[in-house]
Amino acid sequence: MRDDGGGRIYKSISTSRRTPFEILVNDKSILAVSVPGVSYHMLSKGTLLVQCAIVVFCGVALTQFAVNFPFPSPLVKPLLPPKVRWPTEQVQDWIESGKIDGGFLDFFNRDPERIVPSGKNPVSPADGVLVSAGFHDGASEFVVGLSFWDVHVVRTPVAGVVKSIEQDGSIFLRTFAEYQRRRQSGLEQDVALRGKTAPVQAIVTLSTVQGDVKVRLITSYWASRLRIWVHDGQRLEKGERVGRILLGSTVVAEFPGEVEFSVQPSQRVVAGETIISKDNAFQ
Amino acid sequence: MNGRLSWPFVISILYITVALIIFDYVWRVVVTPFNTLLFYAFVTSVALAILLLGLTRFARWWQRNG
Repeated sequence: MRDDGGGRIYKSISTSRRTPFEILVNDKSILAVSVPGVSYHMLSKGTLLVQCAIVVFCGVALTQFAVNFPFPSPLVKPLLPPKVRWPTEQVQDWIESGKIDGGFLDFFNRDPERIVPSGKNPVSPADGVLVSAGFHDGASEFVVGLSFWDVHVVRTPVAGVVKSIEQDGSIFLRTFAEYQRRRQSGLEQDVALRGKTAPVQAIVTLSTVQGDVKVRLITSYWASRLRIWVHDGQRLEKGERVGRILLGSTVVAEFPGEVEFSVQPSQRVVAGETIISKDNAFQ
Repeated sequence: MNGRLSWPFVISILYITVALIIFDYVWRVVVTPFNTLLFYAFVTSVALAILLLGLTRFARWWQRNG
């Protein structure tokens, strides 16, 4: 029992004598901490709880911000309307005016190293969200949608030798107006991708023991720019860089035969790191 | 020390957190280049700090002389 000098009697509720302080409580449930050599430290239960709640909230918010960067924090994500994740009009303005901020480009063109898992399981060809995965017309498609904040470097899903590099669409088109003019005059044809028009794309075909694996890099008619960093006959290991999409949005990996994917649509994938199938026959 | 955390400490952490959340949101909504937004965020923070400091000084002066 202790007296704080103000007439309040406190009872010790500490269980260990080794602790350098003692926790006390009185009949009005007011807590106090007695530190040897120091006077009593009154604890207002409510104030401390509010302060702790604020600090915990801030800690969680800051951690979420740091862990998810450059993607939106889970606290912000629900507030964002879906369209702002790909600001089409802004990108169109940048492309047509030819004025893209250098700082933004530095961020957008980042190319971090990836730790490619060992084994023969295929990995994701791009960063982003899995849009769809399924078996159609004798091939299995793995479609990744890239957001504005994703790394746009595309990697090989499996090891193989580059068999061919094909380009479809208006790679060198710069303006939407020109694209429309060419399309109306029949000079331009969109390449259909199961309900989505894909006007500009490059297809890198890899020869593997399981058959040809295709990686399709697809961009929009506003950006109309792709970069391929490999050449015919080049041997590529799994997770190696194939090229880059400049302000584009979709990457498709096509595998021969039916592949059972282990990733579900809407799940986030990382290029060269996320294993997308338990099938380990690719090499 | 009164057995609770220092309020300036709590408010400072809260200020930083709320500022980051707002910055995160605004960056993604307006899609302004990062450098430009950082500049405006800096200017806003300095202006807010000057305003708060001025209000504090004024409140103290008002207590003494008002």
